[in-house]
Amino acid sequence: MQPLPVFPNYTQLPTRVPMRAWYVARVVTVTGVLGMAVLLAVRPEIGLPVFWGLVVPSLPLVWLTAPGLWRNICPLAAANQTPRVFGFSRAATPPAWLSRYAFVIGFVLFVLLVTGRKWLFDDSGMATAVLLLTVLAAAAFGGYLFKGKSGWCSSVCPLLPVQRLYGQTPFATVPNAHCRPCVGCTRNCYDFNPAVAQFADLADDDPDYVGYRRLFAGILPGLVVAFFTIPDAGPGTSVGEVYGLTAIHLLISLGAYYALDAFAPLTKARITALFGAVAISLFYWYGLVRVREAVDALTGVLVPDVVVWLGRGGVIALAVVWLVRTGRREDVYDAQTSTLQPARVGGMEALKRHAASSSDKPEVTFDGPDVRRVVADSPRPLLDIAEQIGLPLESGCRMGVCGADPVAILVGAENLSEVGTDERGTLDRLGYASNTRMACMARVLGPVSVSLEPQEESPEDAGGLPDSFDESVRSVVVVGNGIAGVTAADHVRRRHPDCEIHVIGREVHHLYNRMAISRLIYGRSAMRGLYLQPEEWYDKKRITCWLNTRASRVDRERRVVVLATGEELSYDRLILGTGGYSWVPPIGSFGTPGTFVLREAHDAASIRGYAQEHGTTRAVVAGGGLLGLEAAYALLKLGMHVTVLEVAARLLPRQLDERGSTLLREYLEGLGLHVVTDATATRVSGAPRLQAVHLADGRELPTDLLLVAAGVRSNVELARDAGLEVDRGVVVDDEMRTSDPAIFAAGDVAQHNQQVYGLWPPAVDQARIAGVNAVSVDGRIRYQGSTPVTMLKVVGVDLLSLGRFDAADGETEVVLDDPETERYAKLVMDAHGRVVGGILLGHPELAPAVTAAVREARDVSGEVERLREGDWAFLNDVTAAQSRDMETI
Amino acid sequence: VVASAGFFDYAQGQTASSGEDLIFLGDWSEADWERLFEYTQTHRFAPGDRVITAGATDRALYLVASGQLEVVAERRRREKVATIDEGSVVGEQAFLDGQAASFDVVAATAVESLRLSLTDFETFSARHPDLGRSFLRDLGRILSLRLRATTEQLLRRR
Repeated sequence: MQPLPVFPNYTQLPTRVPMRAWYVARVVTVTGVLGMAVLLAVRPEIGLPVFWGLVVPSLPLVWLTAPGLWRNICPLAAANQTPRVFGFSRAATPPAWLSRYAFVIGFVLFVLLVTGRKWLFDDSGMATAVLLLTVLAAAAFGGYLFKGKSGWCSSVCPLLPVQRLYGQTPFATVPNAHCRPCVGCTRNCYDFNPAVAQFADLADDDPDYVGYRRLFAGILPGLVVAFFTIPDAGPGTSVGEVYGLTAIHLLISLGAYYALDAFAPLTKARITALFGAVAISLFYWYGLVRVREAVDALTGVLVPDVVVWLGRGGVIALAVVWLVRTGRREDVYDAQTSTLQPARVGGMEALKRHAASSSDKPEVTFDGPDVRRVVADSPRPLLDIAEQIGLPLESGCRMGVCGADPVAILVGAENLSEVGTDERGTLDRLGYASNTRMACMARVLGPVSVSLEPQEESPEDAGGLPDSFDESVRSVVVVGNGIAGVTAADHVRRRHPDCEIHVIGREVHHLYNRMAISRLIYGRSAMRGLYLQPEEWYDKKRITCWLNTRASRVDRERRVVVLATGEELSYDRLILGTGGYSWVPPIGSFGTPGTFVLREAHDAASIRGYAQEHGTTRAVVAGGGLLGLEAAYALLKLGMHVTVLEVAARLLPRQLDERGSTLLREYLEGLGLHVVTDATATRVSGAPRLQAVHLADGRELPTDLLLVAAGVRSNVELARDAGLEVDRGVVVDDEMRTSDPAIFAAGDVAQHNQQVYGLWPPAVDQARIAGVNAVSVDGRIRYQGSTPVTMLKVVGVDLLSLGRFDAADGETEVVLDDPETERYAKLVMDAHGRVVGGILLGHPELAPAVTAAVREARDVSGEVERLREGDWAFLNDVTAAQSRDMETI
Repeated sequence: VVASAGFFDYAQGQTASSGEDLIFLGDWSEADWERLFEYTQTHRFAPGDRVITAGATDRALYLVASGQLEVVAERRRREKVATIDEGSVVGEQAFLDGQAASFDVVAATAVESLRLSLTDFETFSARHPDLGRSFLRDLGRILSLRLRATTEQLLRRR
């Protein structure tokens, strides 16, 4: 059985007494009233003390302790419900004025009745008998006219105001045995939900409705005192005096009520209950004396004083208990009805257990205006944690290369994973204080305190000058202000303290986080936060930066770069970092408004602008590679319905095997992306704007926007025009030198050993080598090629793909595939047992180890069984040590 | 603001929107909750720490694992509007509508709470569509009960 609510209504309460018993009781009470009337008329000397001296004084106590009992056996209620029980009630809905003023009518009748006793009823058996019969008839007539109890019991009954005042905290709850069924006849029905009716009344939005009830509570103690202390009308006291004195008592009482309301920090319900408690205490204080007189008159027995005192004490104690309980009830009522009241977690046990399980996990403290202390439940990077808790930290490559997420480690630097080669290079470029880490690379192993604001480098931190450099080099020109160009310029400056360095950037921006430009599509902060270096970086490094400037020609004989503005920059060394452009396959009518590529910040901004201008709702992304999926996710976040077209049979065919691709597709579709494989877009249609994309197989996809992400090609024109050797990219040797020894190339424009990587980590590596070699006499360094490492930056996807992901003949692969959690890991070993590649999907914890293992081509031939059993942790131990070795090379 | 609706829901003969109905995901199994917790972040707050800042947007749901929070309003003076006990769900409106919080929520005691960002919820429901659906439906139900109470309050005011 469901536990009962704190405020159960009568239909929820168990019924213990059979209906028949209630009917019998009602017959008895109605008969009792009739008999009482007869007795009052015939033998008033008995009837009056019995009725006014015994019956009436006992009622408030019943209403205080077991109000439901009275509601079920009240003879007036029985009379009122008779027409309904016998089916002759007209059951009308009371007119609005009656509903509105019923309480006031009842309350005025009650006051008249009480004051009437002072000059009429207490001394007149006949008048009291008439009163009883009249009231009984009125109740029955009300029942005949109006539905439910709205004709008397829940509307104009003069006893109702008193019952409601005391009925909210019954000591014994007796469910309503009248209303079968409930017809919903009254507002905040006392019979429906007695415990809450009074609170609901006092919390009502209608101030008048509340006011009547407060007024009644306010006068009640005054009325009690007036009744017992003002002499009855008779010789010496006129009826007018009785009413006048009573009115003064009521006003004093009411004044006290509102004075308390103004000065005491009590709620309406509490003040009201307090006055109720005072009134009932006063009633029995005086009333018990009258009861004793009645007993004396009827039996001749004089009840001793001590009994009266015990009775008074008992009632006061009862009232105090009632008052305290009512206060508590009100708190519960407030809690349950407040619209601010929070919902409750259904799985509290699970929640508790989860919280307990993290008690021994390290804590990360993020400093700031609002300090955030969070539990690192696994050795995750600081970036992941910061993102998850919604801190404004940028992200880019998530491989420590781009420099988007520098943070200052205030305490506990030793509790983070070690700085690797890539991260070290980035930190050196950024030039912050020595306590800086790239958040994406710093995995939390113990307690740590972090500030999102990296600190300025102190002079001691700045590295000394290199041993040697080529002093004949006076001017270095770098074409390209992307990561390759900037990294190269940085390394030139590190080696060469005083040569001129010019960096020429075609775009209007300083070095920015190209990998995060999809955020420009869905985010509102535009370029804010996308810049990877402080603006003064160039000045600090004494680098002249030319923004929004094109290099139109290289004159190799004169060693001059001619700018499109007509200016010329002479160079001793030239480094090409011109990057690449988005390649668009032959798609008919591409260029129609609504067709886009995504390569530069400008592209992303245009897409966002177009989407807003034309209210686009549908988008197609041609290309299921990394960029295509990231762009698709961005469009999805912008609120569009997005379809991804992939030429191949699966997503990320260059990064994932069949299984990995399937898992990824399921997840992306779960996010709401639509994926169509084996799909080639051949043309677009629509005028003046894009309306549809047509596929090779004849299908037509209606859309407002097409984004082509089919790959990147190198910007080789400048090099080709200058007569350098160019293939797909500008051909370079191991020193990143082109066919002209004075010219180097790095990044997306460079082709090394037949490879154009098109990725940030190789670009940074190559640029460093180009920069160093450009100004070095000895100590030149050679590029060994890179293992392509890619990550998909779509939320919830922890995807890492590196090296080869399918084993050839004679090679080994180890696969961990958990269909339940949809996590997948694969390691590929060559014939000698060396790790040559792998895939991690949903295994971020293995990323550093596997990355290192692949880069080192680690021999794991003896450990294959261990790997198959799922124990990959050992990869971590050794690689940590080895990565330190690598750093010192 | 007080809504007594539900205590007098005569037609249905039961309380519809009193507190007992505001149980979030009462039908989830332990395993279901464990799955959700994979996507939450445990936060710890010291007394006085601000958990939610009025005027700031924070699309996240908080599950209070232990401790007590206070909802504080900046009216004529700074006053406590409500208390939030352990086991409460906080922030569901901002979670759904992305609007700024109306009140500051401050830790009254040491508090441990789990935070589920909308983004992490998206991930969770992409992985567990069935749970994601029931999560949203129940959140919708709770908000509907609140709206119902508010509507009734408005109607009664006429």
